[in-house]
Order: sequence, then structure tokens, then C-alpha cells
Amino acid sequence: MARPLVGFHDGCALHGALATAAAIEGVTPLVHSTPGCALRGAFSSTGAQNFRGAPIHLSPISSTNLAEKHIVFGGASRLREQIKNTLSVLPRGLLVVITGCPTEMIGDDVPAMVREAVTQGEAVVDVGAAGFLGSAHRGYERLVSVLASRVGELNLAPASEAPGLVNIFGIVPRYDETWASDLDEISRLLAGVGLTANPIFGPGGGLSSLAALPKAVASLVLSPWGLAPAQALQEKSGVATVVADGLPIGADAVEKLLRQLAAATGAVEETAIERLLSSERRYEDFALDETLDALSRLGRRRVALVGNSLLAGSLARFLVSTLGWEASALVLTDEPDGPLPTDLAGRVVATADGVETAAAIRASGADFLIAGARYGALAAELGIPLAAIADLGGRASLSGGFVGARGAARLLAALTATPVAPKLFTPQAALAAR
Amino acid sequence: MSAKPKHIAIYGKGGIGKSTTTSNISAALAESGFRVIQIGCDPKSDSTVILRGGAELPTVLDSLRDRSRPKLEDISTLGFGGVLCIEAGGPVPGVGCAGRGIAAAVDLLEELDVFGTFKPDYVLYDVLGDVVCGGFAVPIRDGIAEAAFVVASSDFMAIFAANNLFKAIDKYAATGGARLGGVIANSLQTPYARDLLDDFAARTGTEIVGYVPRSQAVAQSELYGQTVIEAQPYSEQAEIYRALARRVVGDHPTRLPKPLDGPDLKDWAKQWGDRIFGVEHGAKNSAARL
Ligand SMILES: Nc1ncnc2c1ncn2[C@@H]1O[C@H](COP(=O)(O)OP(=O)(O)O)[C@@H](O)[C@H]1O
Ligand code: SF4
Ligand code: SF4
Ligand SMILES: [Mg+2]
Repeated sequence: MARPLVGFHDGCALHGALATAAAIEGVTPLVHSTPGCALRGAFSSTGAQNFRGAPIHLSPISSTNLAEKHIVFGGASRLREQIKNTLSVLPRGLLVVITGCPTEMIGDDVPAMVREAVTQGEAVVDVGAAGFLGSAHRGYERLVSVLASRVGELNLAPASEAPGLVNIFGIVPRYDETWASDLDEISRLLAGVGLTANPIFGPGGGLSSLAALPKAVASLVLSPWGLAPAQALQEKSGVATVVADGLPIGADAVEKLLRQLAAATGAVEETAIERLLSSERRYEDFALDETLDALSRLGRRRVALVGNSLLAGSLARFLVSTLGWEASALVLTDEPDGPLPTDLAGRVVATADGVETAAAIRASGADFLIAGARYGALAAELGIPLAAIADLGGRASLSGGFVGARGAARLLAALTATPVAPKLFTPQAALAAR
Repeated sequence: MSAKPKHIAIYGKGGIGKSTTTSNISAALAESGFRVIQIGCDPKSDSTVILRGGAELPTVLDSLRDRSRPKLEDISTLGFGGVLCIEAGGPVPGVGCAGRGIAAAVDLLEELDVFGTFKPDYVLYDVLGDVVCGGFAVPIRDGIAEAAFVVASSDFMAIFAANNLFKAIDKYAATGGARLGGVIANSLQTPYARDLLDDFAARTGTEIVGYVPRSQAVAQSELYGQTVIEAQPYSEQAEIYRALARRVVGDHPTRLPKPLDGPDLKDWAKQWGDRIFGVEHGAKNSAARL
């Protein structure tokens, strides 16, 4: 992010780590930074328009709120005090100390303060998440990697046995807006073939979920941000890593994913897969039938897609293979590391910058836009329909997910939500003609 | 005396003699009747010890710790000849941000209207070692010191630090930062030291404004917590400091230095290394022949 960004799509690494920690029930985030860092966490996850002050939707956040004297003389003793105070008022669980730019720059010895608390029997870990390290997604990657590699030292209550447990990595709470809904549906699908998902975050996760990480038969990686955590866990506890092609949208993607998991774990019955797939296919066919009329009115579209790497590539694949649409541009707003999807080579841009994104949309010649609601004005200007898949506020996390046939159904509903009047006949045109 | 005080910053690597030299300059100026403020911008907080006989002096940044708004009397004391001694203070080595400390201390002194209250003729800043980051460049940035001097010896690290200061000066000059007054050669002992420094000055388009020899007088005075000006006012060394003081505050061309870049500096050092080594080698050989 070493350049000015306009209309930024992501928070900073600290915000990602903060949202990630806050999404694990029983975890208290402690921000070791200047006051704005914790507060801006709310700002960057809801967008400036929706900012209403303190982040009421996040669990209690503790913060050292450093003043100038702490910058000059070091903030470590302030941190020691805040760890103690936090533990005295909040229920025991896990305290995650998240350091921001100022403390990383002056080199506060945070690990020493954390070690001190740990030797006193407290469950505390620290993660360096200075905003200059990258985006919110980077913050998720860093925090979850730390948790995965140090879970054994955290004094957590031992997890109960869960045969066929699969850790789900790569869905970033809040910054991937449909996170909770997607985790929920993946959990349902895995349960359908006798596996148990370990979602870590949201209502299905929590401290016991963290404790169970090393007991899993596999770690499922759904976006590039989940790879480092899965590898950390593999190194430490030998849990196999299964890298999927993004979020499984539609029945075909579900099939591919289940077969990958079956091969890696050897713990899935073929008959169970077949049973689940047939129900997925029926659901998807039903959804296609229901929207057929509206879809045929839309016709085959050249679509520009703007979203995080968890979602955007899979969406494009679904649209191309199931609807026969063409993907004319793919903008990955979380700026993932590593190679970009090859099946869309030449049409993929990784940028968190709103202006660059708008330019890519314009240049694509798309006649349909799938992007955050913030691109409504641009879509209106270009005179093309917009299916909003982000900037939807909290509701997307509850009911907006795109996993499986149900996710595909929601996508179809979103595609056809923008009414497209037949080009040949509109009442206005008819009136004007008269 | 004058309406507008002249602010001068003195830099140089740690232990090179900044505080000793600055304090003697302050003492010499005070002796001639000028009102002088010396501000130590070094977390070591020992810039003004030999001006104030080692008396206890709370630092400016100490007041940050308890968030109190200090009064000028709390953070300053009058030393030899009425020099107002101030120590910016800072964190202990290895923690916190000394650079921000300097910036915060300078801000606080401004808020306290130190210069308006004391009405000095000269303000001398004695600034810590290498200019490692923006914080240490505060005194040479817009609106604070108008000229910067660097104390150096013939030691390569001292010259490296001087060269870094030149870079900082060039960087800030465009936005109203300090100009370079020149180089103060200190603790010269070896026969080649003077030539080496002269050559460095010539290469970088600067000037040596004074040669201060290594002297017993300095060490002796220091033991009494005094400057040479105070302890041995009639010594040769005291005269040298007086001349230096006149030169430092006097009107002279301030300039933009031409720092050497990394490879050039290395080549230059190597050349001198060959020369010096050659000299000593030669000396040894001739000694062996005897
Ligand atoms: N010209 C000199 N002759 C002898 N000793 C000197 C001379 N200049 C400095 N010193 C001694 O060198 C030591 C370091 O000097 P100081 O002024 O404290 O360095 P700095 O402020 O650059 O860290 C002191 O003990 C001081 O007495
Ligand atoms: S970018 Fe740095 S200073 Fe800004 S909110 Fe993030 S951690 Fe804090
Ligand atoms: S390098 Fe400078 S800015 Fe960075 S911590 Fe040290 S003193 Fe502060
Ligand atoms: Mg000193």
C-alpha cells in the first residue's frame, strides 16, 4: 500500500486483526496503539458513510490509548498496566494484544510484556499488525497464523473430540462481508458428508474452536489469506492443508471441494457426497428455473466483478460456466499476494484503490457490474445494472452468503434484482413516440 | 542585546566532544556579556553539566511523564556566567522514541515562550550523534536553528556522521532549514588528522571553523564540573575556545554542503587509509632500520 489510495476498500492490518479477534467468542482484543487505531476499526469496516461513532458492533475492545509520553519513553509499561486492568474487569478467556504503527515503529518490547502475563498463568498472545504491513486481510493472516502456531501455549480448556474436523481458513470476519453466512453454509455442507467444520469465528466458533485447531483432519483454505495460518498449523501440528479455488459457489464447485476434502482426509463416504450433491443440484436447478425469465431478459452479459479474492474469482467462474456470461474484468480489492487467477489472465487487477477500480470497470466495456453498493453511481453513469455484493452493512453477514447452491440462488436473485426493462418496448418510449 | 536571538545547532557523533565544545562556546559567549541558552538535545541529558557544576536539573521531557505543564524555572537553571541550561531529556537507551522526544521538547519550549522570556542573544542546541531519523533533524528544520555546525575528528565514524548531517541539511534547505556553518575539528592528535579533515572539508565544499587540540585542561576542568573557560581562563585551550566562539556566532558564509555518496565516501576513506597506513608502515620500517 505504498501509494495514496482513494476510496480505499479495506481497513489496515490492525483493523483486520481487530475484527478477526473480536469475531472469536471469548477473545478480548487489546489494541496497543494510539487512540484512533481502535476507533477507526469501526470506521473502516462499515465505510465512512455508516460511521456512527464508537464501534458498538464489536465486542469490548481494550486499548492502551497511548499519549505522546508513551511514544517518547516507550509504551511497554502502559501495556503491562492495561493487560492487568483488562484481565481484572473482563471474564477470563484469551487476550489478544494487537500492536499498531506507533508501537511497532518505536519498538516496544511487547512480547516481553505478554510473556510476563503468561508466566502469571494468563492466556495472552500478541500479534504485530501495524497498518503499514498491509490491508485488513493481511491483519487476519497475521493474527490467525499466530493463533495457529501458538494455540498449544494458550492455556485453553481442552477441546472435545470431533472426528472429521476441518478448519476453515481464509474468510475474514467483517472485511469479507458475507463471512458468517458463508461459514454457516460451509458448516452445513460439511456436516452433510459427515465432516465437522471448525469455523473459528461467529456463533459456531469460539475458544473451544481455537483449542480444537490442532485436532482437525484438515485445514481448508478458501482464500490466499488462509494459506499462512494453515501452513503454520501444519508445521506445528501436522494438520493437512487443502487449498480450494475460492468460495464454492454452486453445486459444481461444491462437488470439486468435497472431492478434494475426501481425497485429503480419506474420511468421507462416496455415497454421502452423492447424496449431498443431488440435493445441491436440485436446489440450484430450482433457483435457475425460478429466475429463468428474468435471466433470459438479461441475456448473456459481459460482467465486471469487483470483490475480495475469496469471492470474486469464484463468482466469475460460476457466471461463465453456469450462465455462459463473459467476465470482462476482475478487480481483487484485497490485493492478494501470489499469482492471480490464470483462467482470467489479462483481465485481473489487484487493487484496493477506488479510482483504479473505477478505471478498470470503465475500460472493461462491461454491460453488467457486480461490485459493492458504492459503485452505484458509476453503474448509473454507465447505464448498466449493478448487483451489489458488498457495502451492505451487517445484513450481508447474516443472509448474504454465496456458498453452495443456496449461495448460487442468492447470487441469481441479486443478478435479477435490478429490473431490466426490455429494450424494445418501454412505456416511456411508447409515450414519447406518441 | 539583539532583538532576534541567533539559534545554532551543534551536531556530531556520540562522544566526539559536542557537549564539551558547546559548553565552552556558551561559557566564552557569556563571559563576553552575551545572554546564552544552551539546550541539550540528547537523551543522555549531560549537555550542560560542566556549565552548572553538576547540579541536578529536571529535563523538559520529565514533565511529559506526569503530564504537568512545567514552568520555565522547573526545567532550567542558570549556570556559569548566567547561561540558561536546559536538557530536553528522553528515554533510556533501547526504549521509546528519542526523535519524537526532541520534537516534543522543542514544541514545549516554544509553548513556554522560553526565548521571549529570557531574551537570549544566542541559543545553542547540542544535538545527539547521527541524524538517524526525522526527530533528530528537528533543530535544523524550518524556523529553528539558522546554522548548524558539526564536531568531528579524523575518526572515520565521526566523518561518516558529519557527512550524514550534510545530507540532512541539503534535504531541508529547500524548505527553510538551517545552513551549514562549518566543521569543528576536535581532539586532534595524530599528525595526519588535520590534513584529513581539511581534505574532507574541501571535498564536501565546507570549511573547518576551528581546530581544537586534545588537551589535559579539558579533562581537568571536567573533573571539577567546569568548562575550561571557568576553570582555566588563562590557558591556551581557553583562548582556543574563545576564538571558536567568535567564529561560530560571527558573520561568515553559511553554505550548502556537498555530501559524498556512499561509494565516494568509501573510496575517499580507503585512499586515506592507504596514506595513513603507508605513513605508519614507513615509520615502522625506518625504525626497524635503525
Ligand atoms: N578537546 C578535548 N580534549 C580532551 N578531552 C576532550 C576534548 N573534547 C572532549 N573531550 C572529552 O571527551 C569526552 C566526551 O565528550 P562530550 O563532550 O561529552 O562528547 P559528546 O557530547 O559529543 O557525546 C569527555 O570526557 C570530554 O571531556
Ligand atoms: S494504519 Fe497504523 S496508525 Fe492507522 S489505524 Fe492502522 S495501525 Fe493505527
Ligand atoms: S528511529 Fe527516530 S523515529 Fe524511529 S523510534 Fe528511533 S528516534 Fe523514534
Ligand atoms: Mg553530549
